[in-house]
Amino acid sequence: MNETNMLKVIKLNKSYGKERVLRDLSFSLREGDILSILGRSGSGKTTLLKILAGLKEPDGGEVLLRGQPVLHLPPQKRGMVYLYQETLLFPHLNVFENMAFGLRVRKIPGSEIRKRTEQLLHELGMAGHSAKMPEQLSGGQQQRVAFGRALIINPSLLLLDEPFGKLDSRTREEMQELFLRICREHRISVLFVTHDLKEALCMGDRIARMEQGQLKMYAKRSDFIRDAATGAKKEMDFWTGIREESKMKNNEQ
Amino acid sequence: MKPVTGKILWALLASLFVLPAAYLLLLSFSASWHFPLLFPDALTGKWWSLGFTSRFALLGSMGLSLGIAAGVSLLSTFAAFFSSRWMALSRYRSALLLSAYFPFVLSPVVLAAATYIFFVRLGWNGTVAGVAFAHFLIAYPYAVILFSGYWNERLLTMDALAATLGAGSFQRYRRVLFPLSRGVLALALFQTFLISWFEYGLSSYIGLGRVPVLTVEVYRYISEANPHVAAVASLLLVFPPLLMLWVNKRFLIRLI
Repeated sequence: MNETNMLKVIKLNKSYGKERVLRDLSFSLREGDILSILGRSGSGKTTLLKILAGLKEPDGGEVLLRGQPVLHLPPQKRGMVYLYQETLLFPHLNVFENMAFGLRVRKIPGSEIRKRTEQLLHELGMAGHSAKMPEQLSGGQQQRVAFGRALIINPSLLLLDEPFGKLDSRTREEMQELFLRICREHRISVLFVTHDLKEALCMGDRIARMEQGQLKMYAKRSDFIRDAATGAKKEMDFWTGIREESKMKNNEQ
Repeated sequence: MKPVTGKILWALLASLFVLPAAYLLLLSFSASWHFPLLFPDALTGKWWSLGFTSRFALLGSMGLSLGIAAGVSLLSTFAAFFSSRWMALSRYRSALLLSAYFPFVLSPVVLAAATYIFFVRLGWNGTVAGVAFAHFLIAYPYAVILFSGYWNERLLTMDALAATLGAGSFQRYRRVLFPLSRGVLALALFQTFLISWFEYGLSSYIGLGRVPVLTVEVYRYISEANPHVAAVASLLLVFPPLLMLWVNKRFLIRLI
């Protein structure tokens, strides 16, 4: 095994009835890397993340985290936090307690909880909101708290299932920037699932595409763009066409 | 609906609840009340004091009923809360839910008759444990049905998220599921308490008259043509649910 591999997935299989969702899926992820996984709805992206998090059982295969098999472990022992498209903040807890949730369940001393939570609240620009309840926050603020709640426990791996899907485009860009900065600073390994081409390109150190239950990894970003199946080339041609068309119109005027 | 019509309807509905209770209260304090008098010609407190003597021992019956109803309510609510969560994740969810309707399709008394042989074999007929278990047999499926719609995708996802954040099963119940479910738990506790508290057929059938819960005692006084003590017992029967309704009104009114 490569020493720098944080995660190694070997020949993972999963079927729902007769439908094979994952077919001998294998890949690895280095420590501190962000892997973007692009795929259409129903391509098996969410199933993959849920199996890694321990929320679904695979039919076969192996998952190694830092070289150790984890499939036999319950979700709470894996150190992988799964973040959904919805923030799912606990509605009965305020911002501070939502953020501190993972520390409370680990029975960390109160003073340590206060220190770490306040520090992260500050880092995420949420320092003035600690007493607020989730429904008092905007979508972007809720997403920050959801990240903070995951980051505070120093997870081995973050599993993100289209986390910015419900945000407006501006907030989405802000959150992408914040997320990248925080992940780089904390050297967190991330699997980032999205169906948004641009987001996949922006967020990932490496990019993969999921199709028919298998993951195709691209060594370089240019390889991803060149592959017609990703749709990246088509998208770029579309925008280039628009730009040239408007240039021509400007010249005519 | 016009406000005046609404008020009249509300007053009519309220009187439906209040008038029988007022009649019972008057009856429990009446020394003599002869037809066609609208109200008793003399009042007395002797039925209340008599009701609590060793001959009638209504306080003991009330305590017994309270104990059984509270135990059945707690046990069936929490057992149903855990098992309905398990059911929500099960591939046999529909079949399991359908089986929860079984005691109500049969009717509780038919269920008691059908299972009576098991009570006899276990030596539970005519015992408090037997009556409590018989109540549980209908309160538990009721609570399962009540919770069946509660475990929606969002709540189950929140539970799963808490697990990936490091919370074990106990921590998830303590820190997420119970606090989020206070309302529905209060409703289930209240409803199952009422089921057990007002249960007559099962108490009488399984208890063989040897377990003097309040409902059995009320019927006994009525059949003995002792309307005054029956009125006292009936009022004792009505009081705890009313008290519970008042205490839990914040949760219950929001949910009902």
